[in-house]
Amino acid sequence: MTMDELIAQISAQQGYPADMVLRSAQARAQAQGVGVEDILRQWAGGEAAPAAAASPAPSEAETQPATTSAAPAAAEAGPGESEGPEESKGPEVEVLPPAEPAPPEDQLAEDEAEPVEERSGVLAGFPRWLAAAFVVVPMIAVLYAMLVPDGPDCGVSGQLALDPVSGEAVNCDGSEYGVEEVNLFSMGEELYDGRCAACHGGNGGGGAGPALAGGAVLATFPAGQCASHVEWIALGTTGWPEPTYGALAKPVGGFGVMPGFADSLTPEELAAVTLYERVAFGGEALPDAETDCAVAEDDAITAAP
Amino acid sequence: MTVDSSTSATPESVDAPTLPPVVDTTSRPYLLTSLAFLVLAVLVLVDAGIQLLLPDVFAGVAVLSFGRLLPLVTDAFIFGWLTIGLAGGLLHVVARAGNVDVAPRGEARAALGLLAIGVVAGSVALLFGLNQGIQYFEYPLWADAVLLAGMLLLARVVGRTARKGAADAGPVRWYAVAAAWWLPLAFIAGNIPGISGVGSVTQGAFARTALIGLWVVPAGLAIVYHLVARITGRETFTPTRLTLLGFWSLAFVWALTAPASLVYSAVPDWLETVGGIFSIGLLIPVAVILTDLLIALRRCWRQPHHNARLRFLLLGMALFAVWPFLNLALAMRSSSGIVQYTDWGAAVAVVGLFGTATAWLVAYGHHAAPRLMGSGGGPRLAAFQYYAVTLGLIVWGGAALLAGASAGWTWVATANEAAIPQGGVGFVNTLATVEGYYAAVFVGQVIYVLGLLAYVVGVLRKRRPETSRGADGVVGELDPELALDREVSPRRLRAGALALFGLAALIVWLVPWAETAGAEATLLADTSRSYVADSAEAAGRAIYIAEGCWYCHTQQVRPIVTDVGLGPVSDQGDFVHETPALFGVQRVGQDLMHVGSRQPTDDAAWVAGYLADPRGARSYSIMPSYDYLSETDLEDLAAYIAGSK
Repeated sequence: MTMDELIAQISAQQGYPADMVLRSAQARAQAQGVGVEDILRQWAGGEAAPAAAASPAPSEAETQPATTSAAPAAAEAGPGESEGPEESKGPEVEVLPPAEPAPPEDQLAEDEAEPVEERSGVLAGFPRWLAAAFVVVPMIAVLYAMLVPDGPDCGVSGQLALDPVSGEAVNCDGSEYGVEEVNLFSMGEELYDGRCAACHGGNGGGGAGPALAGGAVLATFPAGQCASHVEWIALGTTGWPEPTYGALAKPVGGFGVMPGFADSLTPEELAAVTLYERVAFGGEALPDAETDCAVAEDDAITAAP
Repeated sequence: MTVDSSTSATPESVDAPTLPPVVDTTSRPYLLTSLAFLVLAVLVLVDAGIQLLLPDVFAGVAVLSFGRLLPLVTDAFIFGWLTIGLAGGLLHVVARAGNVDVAPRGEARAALGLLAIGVVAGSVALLFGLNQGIQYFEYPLWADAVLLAGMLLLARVVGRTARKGAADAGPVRWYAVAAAWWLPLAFIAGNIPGISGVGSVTQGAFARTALIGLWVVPAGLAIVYHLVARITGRETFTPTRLTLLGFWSLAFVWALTAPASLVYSAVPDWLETVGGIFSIGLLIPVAVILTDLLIALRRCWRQPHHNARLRFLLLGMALFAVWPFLNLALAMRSSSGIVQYTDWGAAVAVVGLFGTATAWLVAYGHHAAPRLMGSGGGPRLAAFQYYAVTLGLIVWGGAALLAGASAGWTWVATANEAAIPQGGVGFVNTLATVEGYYAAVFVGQVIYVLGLLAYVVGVLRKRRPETSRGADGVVGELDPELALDREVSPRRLRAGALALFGLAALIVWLVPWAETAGAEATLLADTSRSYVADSAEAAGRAIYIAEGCWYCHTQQVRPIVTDVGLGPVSDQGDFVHETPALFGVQRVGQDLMHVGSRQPTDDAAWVAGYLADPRGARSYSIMPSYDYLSETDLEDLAAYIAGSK
């Protein structure tokens, strides 16, 4: 028989349009790596088992839910099918039931809009992604249930702890929410590199502006005078009310113009950058500087207009 | 859209005036009545939208107060337009799919009468401040009784008509019969009075979800399956295994998503997890049903441009696909911290009720009007309806989603800046965020309403001679692999539907109710939230419910970053003296759980003055003025609010 005759015969036997038979056969042939004509011959050969599998309701399955009726039939069809080249892959196929060889009717039913994968059992004929969804979606749901049966832990998804006395939502360690330990030193380092290093040098060695390193900054604003140091940075040469500044009474503007940062930095940031300069370049001990500048922070609020 | 007229080889017109006359016109008065309620609901919707933007419009008129109009719109929309419209549609499709007449017709008419009287009576009652305090179930009990009688009668008629009809009526019958019984069950669940504390909250959440997921959606799907069958040239929809799976999974999953609206609130933690699990699971029935419908419609893609009912059908299906994802954002703890109590929740209702369900019902109208009344309007009018409704929904829903997300982010950001030591004061920030979106919401609403009014005009207008080309459908072949060889027996259907309803009620309502009923009253409950009879606080609480304050103010502090600064986190025991508990719906205004512990709201006199003239004290307020309340009422309400310590 020629291919056309084969197609016509299958088309008549199965009641599918000829073009669908051909298309299905091509798809099947490609999947199995054999010729289209082989597939057609196989189908036209009147394989009894697959044909029986196509009728979805064996009489003994009447009492079963209809959705499962295809399963036993497909199972019968399995061995009859396993003559193809993919036989050697047997074990793998068993692990993945959806990939099991199915009767050729699967392919005949294939549609261009909704490609139907070969599969057996209740999922036969379902679009591939939908069948996958039946596994994936419940898996996500179960995962969700297992991960957070009683709500997320503190700190996850915005969850906070409860203060046993006040009943208010608090930080996970029990401290009041929103009150965070701020590392003023590293904040100051960041600000210095961005705002000050251009004139005073990355290591405080000076440039367009005077050097800060080597004790210079503490000479001008000695220990205990963090407040004036903050005020100086806040106001700059242009805003400084007096002709001289610092313990050495240096003339304002004697080393060029320095802008005031009162408008661009918050009091906390001003204190931070001051702290950094005093510790990193002045060599003052961090705890001393912190005590000194913590006072200064409060003052800076009033000092900066 | 590319138009290929050559695909429709024979330009026969199924929608032409020469339609076979339908002898049974029982559904006609249903269609007309539902249209009347649609017009009422959308006009009041526009008015409510105006009042949200310009709160002083109609200020001082008690019956036009925003808090009274809002439940009127939702309830008239759900029970007047959707329920009566879907009921008429069910009768129509069950009779046509079974190839019989509606029987008994007298009872069908009586059911319509009762439903219509119930909605009218309930709406009037709401205008006069008779509100039960559970969202969607606000109508007073006597109006509920009338409505319920109508629902029971309807279920009987649908059931009898279905039994009489051909056995192969398929999904149309499954969905119709099940939905017709789920409706009164959900309605009863939502209206059982006298439940206090957290039990009343789980009651409301369950009943609302069941009303939507087990009545509006399945009733809509019964109609959709019938329309798809007719569009594809079949008498009835031949069910596939997908159809069956879609039906049972929908019946199983949807009502169990109820706790999605309760995440992080004072309900048991496991309940929130159940809501999360099934909100994820909801993707399955929706995906299955849509796939089933799309496979059936695969030969009809070229038709929509001249087929109004297919267009609206597809619009509804597109929104149906989006719906569970939006719901998921509410149900998942991580995202609910952002979107809970914001306009996101409103947007879900827009996509579900104003979108999906309405689109399907309009599709039905385009199917039924020519058949029942020889009307329907021309294709140009139909096109206008479609574009206006679609555009309106996109603008309205989109703006509401953005408003919700941005308001939520602002709450979190405000809490992080620790800028709300006084709790509600920082709330001003969110008002500024959503203002622009509210204007867009209103524009979207107006476009949407214009589209629906055009639909009403079309249904009432005598049909012009058919000008559309195009046939309705090519008979698509059924995928044999998917074939379902047996019809679901009516007994199994009924038993399954009832069992699944009961299961959901048990898990998401009754068990958490039992678990929380024994909750020990907290100190807060016994001191400032006890509401002993005849106290000013108790009277004020009644006014708070009647005036609908609880639509825009929550009373619920969650243990998350978003709510920092609002006071102690809410506990089950805080609500034991409240029937029903008023967790609230959305925070259009600030949370009021501990409003009496903040300033200046701890002063009842200040609150009374503020209620009478909100913009006198705070220029940015969008709260309606309550100067129409009597002096005593105002003082009672203020005492209630200021007493919320």
